[in-house]
Amino acid sequence: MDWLGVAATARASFAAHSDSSDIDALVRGIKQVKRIFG
Amino acid sequence: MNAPARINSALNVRDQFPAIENWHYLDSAATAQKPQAVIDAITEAYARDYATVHRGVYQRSSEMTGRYEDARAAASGLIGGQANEVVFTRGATEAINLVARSLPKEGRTRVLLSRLEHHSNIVPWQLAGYEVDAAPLTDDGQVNLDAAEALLTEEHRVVALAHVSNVLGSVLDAKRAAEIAHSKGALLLLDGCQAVPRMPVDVAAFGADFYAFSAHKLYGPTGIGALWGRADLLNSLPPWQGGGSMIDRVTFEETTYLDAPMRFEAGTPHIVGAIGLHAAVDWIGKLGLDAVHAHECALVAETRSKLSNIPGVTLYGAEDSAGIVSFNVDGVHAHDTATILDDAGVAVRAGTIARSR
Repeated sequence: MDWLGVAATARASFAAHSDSSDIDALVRGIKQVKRIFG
Repeated sequence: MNAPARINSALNVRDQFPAIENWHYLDSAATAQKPQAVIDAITEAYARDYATVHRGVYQRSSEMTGRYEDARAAASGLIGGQANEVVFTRGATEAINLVARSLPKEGRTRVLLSRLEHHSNIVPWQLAGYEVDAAPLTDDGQVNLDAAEALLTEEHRVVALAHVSNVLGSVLDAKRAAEIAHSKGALLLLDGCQAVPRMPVDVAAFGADFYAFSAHKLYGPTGIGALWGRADLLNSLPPWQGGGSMIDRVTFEETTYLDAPMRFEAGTPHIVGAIGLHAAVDWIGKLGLDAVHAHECALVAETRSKLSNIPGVTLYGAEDSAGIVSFNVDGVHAHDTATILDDAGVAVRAGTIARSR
């Protein structure tokens, strides 16, 4: 992704079965990432 | 975009997916989980109905041949094509390799891609001896078609672009891409892997020449995909692999070949894969691709809204990306982010796309 100046990205991709519970879990997980690396 | 605050499984199909019980699977762009209807179709095809195709004189083989050809018609119909315009391949990768290897260059030695292409839409062209040019992207991650138009010359044989980006979810203006390609006498190949499961596709309306997709990203089995091509174009291409099923008459002096699509399907095909693909096409057809697209757009809007409220999270791509959100937590490598998310029961992809020179 060097056009963005970053080496890599995380990617969340959805499907017909996805719902808000998946997004809520993603948000909780990202907050955990920030706690560990904060 | 007026997305609802909550998307409570508007399509209501979660319980049809046995593999995602107690798991937040957010990697469908890599491969889709399978609904029970597809699993059942595959099981029954092996357990109850199995036989070879195209050769057997007995009843069950005749029935299986009919189902294999019905699957071809369904795969082509899904994207607005005719039944005889789809070649079954191992997947989109093999479909692009087929075009790259089989299409006569006719004196043109370059292909025009974009900087967001998957490796499967770069390496086949390099292996086939083409010089590769890559169109830049706009700031929000769309293929810059003005720049592509300026780069295109009469040395280019093919313009090959992702219909929907696997990294950013950007949706290509396919009709304009076709007009640009044709203005210099080039052909347009679209990599439809991420588009086919997410939105209605009509190759005829776009004016595309080739369209490739994989069944496993469309809720179907691995090991099978489709190359759609205009019938006259497919019939103008020479075979690329030799064997049974693709020949008209064989002698040691000379062999003649069947017309497309059979010409490109040497050997016993992935019979049950085709039946699984057909089941997947039927399954998503019942949901309706307009409804799936609206559902995934709403999920993207909700995700972008919630992640943008977390300090130190960077979002990439356009607001109206189709079903895909790429992001980084500032100062944290994407692999570490994905590992911690995995511990939390959330599956995301961490990865890169091809680098430019």
